[in-house]
Amino acid sequence: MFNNFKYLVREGLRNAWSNRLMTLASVGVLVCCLVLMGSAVLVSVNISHAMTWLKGENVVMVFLKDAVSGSDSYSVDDVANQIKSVDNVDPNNVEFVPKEEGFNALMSRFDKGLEIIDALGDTANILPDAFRVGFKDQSRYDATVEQLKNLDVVYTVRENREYAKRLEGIRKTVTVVGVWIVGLLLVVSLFIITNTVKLTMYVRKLEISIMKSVGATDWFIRMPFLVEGVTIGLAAGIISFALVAYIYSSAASAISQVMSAGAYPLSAIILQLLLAFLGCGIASGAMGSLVSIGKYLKDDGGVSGE
Amino acid sequence: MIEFRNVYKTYDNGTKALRDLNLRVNEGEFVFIVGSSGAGKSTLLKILMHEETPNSGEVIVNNTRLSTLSHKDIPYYRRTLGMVFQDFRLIPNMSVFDNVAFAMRVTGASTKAIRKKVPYVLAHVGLTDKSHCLPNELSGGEQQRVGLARALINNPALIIADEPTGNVDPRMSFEIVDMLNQINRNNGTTILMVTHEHALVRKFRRRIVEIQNGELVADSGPEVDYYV
Repeated sequence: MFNNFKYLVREGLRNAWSNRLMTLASVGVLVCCLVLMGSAVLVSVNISHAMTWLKGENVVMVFLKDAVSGSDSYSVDDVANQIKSVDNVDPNNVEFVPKEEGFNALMSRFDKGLEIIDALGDTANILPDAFRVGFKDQSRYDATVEQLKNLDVVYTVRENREYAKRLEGIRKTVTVVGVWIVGLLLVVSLFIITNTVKLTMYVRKLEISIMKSVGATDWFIRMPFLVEGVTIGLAAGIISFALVAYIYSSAASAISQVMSAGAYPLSAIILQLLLAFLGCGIASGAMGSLVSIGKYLKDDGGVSGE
Repeated sequence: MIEFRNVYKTYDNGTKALRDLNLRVNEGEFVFIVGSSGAGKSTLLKILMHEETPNSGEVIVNNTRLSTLSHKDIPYYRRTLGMVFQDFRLIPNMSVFDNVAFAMRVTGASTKAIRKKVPYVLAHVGLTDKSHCLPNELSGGEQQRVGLARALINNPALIIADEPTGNVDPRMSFEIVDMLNQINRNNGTTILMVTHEHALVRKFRRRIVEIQNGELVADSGPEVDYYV
């Protein structure tokens, strides 16, 4: 059996080489599909990355009532816990901002007239204590803001509704478009591979009929074609990975200059990317071969070629 | 060895290829099957190879009812037959040696067994010095001898030859049928040969079965002399 296995693998490789023009065409088609698919996935990963970054940035400022922040009896932890207990508030993203810090941050935006403020001394700080609060689900933004406003300790909430809405819109569009693009490309690439292998199969119809006539089992006939398909897939996977990695690393530096979020670091996903490309390549090649040869094997005829 | 019992075959397009065919071929016989084009000879061979199945009736080969064979059993059944085709059906990018070895590989034979047996069979058909040639480097007669070597390699009890001399010059035609004749006499291999060449049929004087319009119209009868 091992003899046969070695022989069949060798046959598959030999076939891939002797039909090198067809092999090259199949690899080319598969590379195009994989590069497109890989790019779509990377764009999606980057948008998600930017979204995560923006979400972190997209926090509301919850200002406390003077009566609360002015009283000696109030505890920062108590108020923080009240805020954290509001549904949809991300408990890991609730940060206390003392009024001094808020004031300094505000003052740093001005470069003139600071002398007057200085002259006013401690009384100049009219800001109350505040909390920087992030949400878990941006789609429930309005309801959460409303709930926060209803808390007794809260004076007001500084928010940016439009910004939040736009973010949510982008995220939804990216998800829908991404899924459609990847799905469509997957169908197209499978269709193309199946047809390319079918063409090879047509050329080798004689060979298959001879194999059948001498009593080859389905597995024996399928194996060289499977090896050929997997070889094509493997080659396409490696080439597409190299191409995408190269393009991405060049694009990443350009992205970093435009977007403050920066590109998703290649090193963090390089292994997954390589495995995904090889997996997709091999699976497409193998599936293309099996689907195409299935028809020829199901039929018991064709032995005498008439 | 081979038995056709009330076999009917009608193709999907309505062509009635076999009508109530009854035929019995004993072990060790050499049978010429003759008849005009479209008489049903090819259908008969296709049914024997389990390429086609009859609409009704029963075909028994080596005690196997072909109707009971599943898709999985078919390759193993075909290994018990040797087939020779009019158009040789050699794999073009394989050498003579590999074409013959291929039929052994299919059965899971070891490389050692292949290296031992293929040269022996090639010598038997007089092709030792052509073993590394590709099929297109050989004459029609030589290609058919490769086909014959491939049919013989697994020692089948039955050889089915579908117009094996159809693409071969007359002198080589005689040689090929003579080889089949020798194989039959020396090894007791049953041979079923479809042919159009009456000269060959007359020359070799073996059992003749004639089919016309899907029916058996003449049979010279079993070869009592060659019973094994």
